[in-house]
Amino acid sequence: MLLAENDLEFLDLVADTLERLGAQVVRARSGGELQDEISAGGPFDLVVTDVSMPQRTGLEVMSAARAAGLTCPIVVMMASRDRTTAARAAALGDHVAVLYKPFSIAQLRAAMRACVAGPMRATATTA
Amino acid sequence: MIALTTELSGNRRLEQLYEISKLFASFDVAKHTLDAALKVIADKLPLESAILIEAVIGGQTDMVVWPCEGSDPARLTSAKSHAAGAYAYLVGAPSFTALDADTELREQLGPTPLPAPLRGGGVPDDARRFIVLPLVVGGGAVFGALQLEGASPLDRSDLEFVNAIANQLAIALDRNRAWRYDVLRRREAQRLEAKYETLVDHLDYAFVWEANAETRQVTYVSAQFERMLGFRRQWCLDELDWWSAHVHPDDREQLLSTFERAVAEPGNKRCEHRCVASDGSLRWLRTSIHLVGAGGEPPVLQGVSFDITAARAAQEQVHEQLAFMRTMASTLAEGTLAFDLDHQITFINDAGAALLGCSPGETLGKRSASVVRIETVDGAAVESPLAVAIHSGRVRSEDHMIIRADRRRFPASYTATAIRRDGKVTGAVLTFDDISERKHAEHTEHFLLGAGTLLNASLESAAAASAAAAVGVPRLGDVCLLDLVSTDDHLLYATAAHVDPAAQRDLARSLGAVPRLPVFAAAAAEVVATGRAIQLAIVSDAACSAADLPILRALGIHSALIVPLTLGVRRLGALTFCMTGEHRHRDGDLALAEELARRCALAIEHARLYEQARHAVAMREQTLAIVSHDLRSPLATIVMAASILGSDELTRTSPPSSIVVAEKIQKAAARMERMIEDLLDFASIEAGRLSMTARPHAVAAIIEQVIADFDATAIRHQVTLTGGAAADVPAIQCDRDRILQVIANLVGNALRILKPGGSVALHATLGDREAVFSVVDNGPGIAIADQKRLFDRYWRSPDAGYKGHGLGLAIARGLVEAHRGRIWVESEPGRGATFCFTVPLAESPPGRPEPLDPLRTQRR
Repeated sequence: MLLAENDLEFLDLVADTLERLGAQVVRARSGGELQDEISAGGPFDLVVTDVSMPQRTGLEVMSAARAAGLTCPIVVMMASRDRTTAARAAALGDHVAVLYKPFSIAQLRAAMRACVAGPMRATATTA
Repeated sequence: MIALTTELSGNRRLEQLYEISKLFASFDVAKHTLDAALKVIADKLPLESAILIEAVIGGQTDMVVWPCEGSDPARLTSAKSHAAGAYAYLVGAPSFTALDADTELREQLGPTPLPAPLRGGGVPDDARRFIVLPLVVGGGAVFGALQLEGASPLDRSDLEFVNAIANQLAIALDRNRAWRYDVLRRREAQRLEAKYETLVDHLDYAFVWEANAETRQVTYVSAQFERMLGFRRQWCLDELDWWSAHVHPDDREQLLSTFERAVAEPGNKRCEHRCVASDGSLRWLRTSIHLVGAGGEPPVLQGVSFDITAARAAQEQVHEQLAFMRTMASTLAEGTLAFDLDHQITFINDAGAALLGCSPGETLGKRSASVVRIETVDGAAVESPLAVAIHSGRVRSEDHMIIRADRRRFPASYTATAIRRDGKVTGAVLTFDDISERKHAEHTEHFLLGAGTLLNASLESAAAASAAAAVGVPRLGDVCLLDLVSTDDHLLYATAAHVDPAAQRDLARSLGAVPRLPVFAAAAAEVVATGRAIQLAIVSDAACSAADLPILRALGIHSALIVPLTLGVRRLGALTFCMTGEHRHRDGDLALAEELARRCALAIEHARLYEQARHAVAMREQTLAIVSHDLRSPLATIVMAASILGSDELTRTSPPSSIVVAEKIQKAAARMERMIEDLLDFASIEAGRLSMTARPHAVAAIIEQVIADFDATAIRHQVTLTGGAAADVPAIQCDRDRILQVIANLVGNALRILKPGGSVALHATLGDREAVFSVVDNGPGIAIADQKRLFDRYWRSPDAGYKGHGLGLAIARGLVEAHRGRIWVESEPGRGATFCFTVPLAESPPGRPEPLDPLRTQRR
């Protein structure tokens, strides 16, 4: 899977934990790196991405990827509660879950399972 | 008759004539003498009757009839009638026709008397029985007639005898006439005098008097004198000069001069004077005097004196009332005019004359229409309020104009009221006032009210400015320019309005091309600087620069009124009202322009404040969104780490290093703490209440401190950190911790952005009375477009390079500006960035604390 997050503390914490749980995690620290990994790396079973990142936002990269034919499930992590951003996340299509920061590791795993399983489901979270 | 003739011989006839002549010589009382004379004749002649007719004064005739004894009354009547007819014939009365001249007799009697004795021509029996003889002397007029009726026909000798008697009689009567008529006249005069005296004695309010014209001694006074003045008549007659003694001293001169005038000139002379009555009271007399008695008699003054005391008192009262009324009316500020039913002016007070521009004297008696007319504001005719008042009692208006004789007009309030006397309308009174000022104030009020509505219609700054320029057009100017003071204290042209919409577009273009009209720019700047309005009279060529002239000429501007836009002590700008063509500024325009400017200033300031408030609200919302977002980032780490530590599954399968996870929680919490600190700092800066203690501090020490603080971090990031201060940089006046905070922010950003192998250099050099700090990195640099906004709060570059969480650089700027320094960035993309800021030098060496003004931050 691919994990994109510009807060390096958070990126490392989540990636380490997911790896400990058995996942193979590729780390991206900006929108640019996310773009690079999607076009050059992979294929990924799952993309977990923050929205607000330097260079390009997670949503911009994923919208372009979806348009280019990427079909893998996507978990979108958002710090803001902005409805427009949420709507754009939903516009990514099926197999998309939205997670509102902050969230627990259990909520992350539930969202990952949900978006792999079914059509879009936004998982609202509060710690 | 033959017997008679024979009986009377010539001698006897002469005797008889002599006898009669004696009678006539002692002629005394006409009737008595005539009776005697006729008796003598009747003795000598056989007479039936004798009738004498004599003309008396006033065309009347006296008739003396002597009938013989036992004569027939009818016959006597017939004789009287015959005598009257004969006399009328003799004096030439045309109606008399019954007589026929006896030509024979007339020839024998000679030339005198002219008319011959006549014989009645009625009945043949009586044919020769009447002899009528005229009474005439010399060549004078016939003044009577003697008719004798014979008892039998009279012969020729009888006729001669009778003729002689008639001549004697005529002479006697004529000699006596003057004496007899004088008596008559005197009797008549006595009768009239008695009647006159009775009359004058019964006059209620007048007495009549006579006085010697030379001595003024009273010779006669009528009875009323006693009743009127209480003096005895005799006393008056006894005094030498009663009038002088009893006239009121103040009136003596006037009365005596009236006496003198009566003596000197013909006609009645009159005066009104007071007289002291016997009881000491004063009576008002109107005395008329005239001179009588010409022709030898000593001249006499006749006079009549009327008591006019009561009338005079009434008149005094009326005068007093009138004087009171006039004084009242004169003191009224309102104009007052009275008219009679012919619309002639009977009264005007001073205020009225002043308002109508005429003098009271020349106005009285004129017809109202020639002095004052009334019409509507639009010049339409209005029914005369006097006419309306006369038929309806009262009329009132405040909407009309009064037109003066000189054609000037003014808005007036007036009331016309009918004057009634004994229930009858006798005229009308018009009271009026010039309400120009009130109307003007009303118009001004309306104008300002309308302006206020227009100005308050928009809360947009631009719209408020446009409204401010437009509201004064065209009332205060055909063109209006608006200049506003910018945030950096420059007076800048904002907008303009022109009375003509087409010209408005041209104006916008020409003013858009040229920043503004230079001549008015200087004046506007002066107005803003002093806060006092300027009136530029006719703009002469000399007062204009070459650049102005074409614009002024094109717009036709010749004068301008420039007023400041003031709000309390703040000057927001200036309004320039320009007049073109025939238009001129009027008295009062300046005050009105200033009042309008105050309202414009308020409207512009309102719009500004509103925009600021709206901006502030938007900023707050944005701030909240960003702050909540940014705070969630470390929070996300904390929540995630905590959930990992508490996860059974992870703890069972592959437990993470709880120390590592706990460290992450601590770091994230510290980040949150810093962010909260920053927020509070920023809020303080924004609110202008940042607490700082400024003291002189050595620059080198500050730089050393920063390098020491960041040394470990630089090593961890594999970045070279160097720095130092130039030797000539003296101490700066600052809050050390705050300046450290600024430098730490800049250095921290650089360390974060740099890739391993990068370098950061921190230096301080001497500027113009300030130290210049610079933080130079060799990182990616900053896009030109982003450089300006870099220091804005919460501004986020898409690259999100040189900033932590959006507040760092904004706080740095706030802190630097609080020290009255500046901060900026110089960068080229790909070539690193240099952040610079300045801090003022300390005026005293370091170590001596010095109080600093409460620091203020500038807002934007």
